[in-house]
Amino acid sequence: MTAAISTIHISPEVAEPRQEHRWHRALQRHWLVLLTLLSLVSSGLLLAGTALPRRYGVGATFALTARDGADEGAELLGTAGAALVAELRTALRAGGSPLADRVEIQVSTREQGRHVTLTASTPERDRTLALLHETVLRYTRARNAQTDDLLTALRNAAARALTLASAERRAAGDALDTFRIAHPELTGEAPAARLEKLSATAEERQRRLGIVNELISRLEQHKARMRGERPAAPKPGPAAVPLDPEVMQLKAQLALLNEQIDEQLNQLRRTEQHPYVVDLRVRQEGLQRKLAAATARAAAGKPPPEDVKPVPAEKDSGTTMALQALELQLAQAYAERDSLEPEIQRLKVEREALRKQAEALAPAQQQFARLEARQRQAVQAHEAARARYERLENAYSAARPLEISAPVFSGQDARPLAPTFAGISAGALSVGLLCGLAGVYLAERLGRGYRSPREFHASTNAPVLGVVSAIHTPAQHQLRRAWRQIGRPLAVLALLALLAGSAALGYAGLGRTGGETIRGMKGSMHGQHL
Amino acid sequence: MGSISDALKRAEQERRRMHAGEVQGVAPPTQPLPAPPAAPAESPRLASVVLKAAEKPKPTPTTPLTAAIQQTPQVAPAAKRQQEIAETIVEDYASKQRLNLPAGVAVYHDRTGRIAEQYRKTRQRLLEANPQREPQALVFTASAPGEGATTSVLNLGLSLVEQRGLRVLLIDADLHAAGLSRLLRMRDGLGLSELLLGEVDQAALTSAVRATPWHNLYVLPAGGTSPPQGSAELLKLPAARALLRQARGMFNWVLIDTPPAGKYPDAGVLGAFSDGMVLTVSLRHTGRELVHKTLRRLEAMSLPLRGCLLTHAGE
Repeated sequence: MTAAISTIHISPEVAEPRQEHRWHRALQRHWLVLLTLLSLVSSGLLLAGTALPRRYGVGATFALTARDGADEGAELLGTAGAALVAELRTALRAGGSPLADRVEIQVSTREQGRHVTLTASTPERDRTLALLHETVLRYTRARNAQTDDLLTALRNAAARALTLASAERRAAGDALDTFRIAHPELTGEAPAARLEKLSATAEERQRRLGIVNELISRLEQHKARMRGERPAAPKPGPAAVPLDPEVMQLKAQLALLNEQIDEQLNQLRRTEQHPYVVDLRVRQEGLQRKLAAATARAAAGKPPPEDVKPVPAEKDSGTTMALQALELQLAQAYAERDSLEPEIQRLKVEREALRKQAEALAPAQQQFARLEARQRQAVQAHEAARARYERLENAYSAARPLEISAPVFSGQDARPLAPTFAGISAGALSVGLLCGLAGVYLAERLGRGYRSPREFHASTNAPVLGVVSAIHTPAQHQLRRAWRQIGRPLAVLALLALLAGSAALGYAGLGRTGGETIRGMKGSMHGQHL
Repeated sequence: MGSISDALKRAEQERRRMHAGEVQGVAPPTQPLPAPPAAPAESPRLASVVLKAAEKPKPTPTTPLTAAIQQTPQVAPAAKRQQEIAETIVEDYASKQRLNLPAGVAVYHDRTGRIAEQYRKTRQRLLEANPQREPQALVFTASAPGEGATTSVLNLGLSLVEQRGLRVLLIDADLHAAGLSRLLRMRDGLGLSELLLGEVDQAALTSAVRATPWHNLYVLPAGGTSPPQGSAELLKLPAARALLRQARGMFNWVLIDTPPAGKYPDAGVLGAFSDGMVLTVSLRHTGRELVHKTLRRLEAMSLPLRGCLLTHAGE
């Protein structure tokens, strides 16, 4: 025996297909499985979806129109609507299905007036419309009753509040007047305020006294300095022209003042803002104005005033005049100081008396302040009560002419609010698709044999001598051909028809009953004046 | 009738050339062509006719053509020869028809079909892998029943004998099911089991081998005797090795159909004596685990696996 035949290696290297290619091939092979499961599961779910508990919803809207003063009436209607909702819920709870039946009332304001929107939803379509019908009737009935009763009650309450506020205001005013009579000292200016003013005056006088004292000391020093100086001999020249005595005095005063200012600024290093410097500047301005006026008068040839002393015809007439001016100024300062000191003493005494008086009147003042605050509060409360009473009076007169239009029903088709056909379809198709993909995966995963020669070689690494297709008998060939050409298309059509039929049945099943009932109730409700 | 006469002439000339070893490119077997048992005729085809006639005593159904030939009185020797050839061809056709082979034998039923071409491709690969044209004995087995091993053996045999000068012997070594014998209606008479129980020599092999309606295609059926010690024990006998040696001397290709290797050890026993094993695997029907188990078993027995023949592809 010879083994001359070499080992056969026919298949090339085969790599495992990638994951996306596996899914692609799996879908190519098992697409009918996918379609079958998709159709069957989706059809079943579509049909089962019609048996889910449903919710039907109906809405109704009617307008509340008012002639005048509708705003106040509408405000009341909002309160009445909330109370009615509570009442209706209580009634529905007594009906036996508190969780399933839902009624909502919403009041909105539009240009034409108030609009009341009622929405009802129940598991039964007929019950929904009946519930809404009953709600509309009860709402309108309760609105009328509540508008009258509530408004009357509110108006009476407001009247009572207004009476109480008036009594309080009167009591507060009487108490305040009685206290004023009992304490007449409280009617004028308060002692504390007068004490404050007096204190300010005393401080101002004290400050002025300090300035005058300093002025006196400076003037005394200046006077002593001037008396110690010798006047220079006058130069020979033409005879002196007699000058105006007032101009001469003013010039001497001004020169003296300028020396004082110079002394303050240059020697004592005081600023322009120092009170004494400010006072000197004020005096300087006053003297300059007087000097200008006197110069103008002398140029006009008018005689000086009578109180002005004539200028002595001596050689040192300038120094003498300066001394006279200084003495005059010094005399004025002494006079001012003499008047200030008694005034300050008087102010101190008066301030002390006022302080004692204020301390004695403090409790009475506090009580007086409390009485004033009470009176103010009573006045404000009275004003508010009167405004509310007037508003309620207006509302009472304006709420009566409100009219209710015939309700307009909406959302009354045969389709339930939930579940919707779109939701059921989406869910059924999703679940069907998932089942189909799971079926494809299982068919691909649980297949016992090999799917291709490449897979066989990749799995076993054994050489492939040949590949032979499946052998079928002519009958089998005919059967397979018939399946491919007729059976499979028919199966696909049947599955698609099943899916479409289930969808149609599901769509029809969701709105199968109740349409006629709603249309009939709509006709009975239409045009009814409530 | 003119075209029939021409065809008969061409067939006779071809047969003479084959007997004289005139076919080029095909190595003649070392042993002389076995004479079919009880075959007085000169050619195997005629022998097969006689064999068929002996096996089936029932009169062959007469066709208009055979009736016309039989009714021809006192013909000349040349004409008589032509008449015999014509009768042979007609009888071959009738014999094939009588076999009533299933549709799976695609090389016979649909010679130009896709499946026949796939078997021819397999045959071509086998031939290309044997450039020295040495006699080959291949064991065909499967992992489980129903994978198409028997049908593949018959189809490959038919495709091999389409090559001129190739003599092919199909051995039905499946002593449990005898599928090939049943397929070719050769359940009766001597077979492999009787041969292995006796002394195997050329004469014995020649007496057991049966011709088929196809030229150069012979069959050693399974036989009718049930081995007392089991088929595997029977195949382990030295007679089996001698049988394969004798068969290689007489035929170019010996294709052995064995029971499933995953079920019986027969394929492994014969594979040790053969030139290679071919594992038939049904792509869609055979489980992966079973295939792996069979391959591991063959590998553990150090059997020369020539390749796998994948069937039922593309379902």
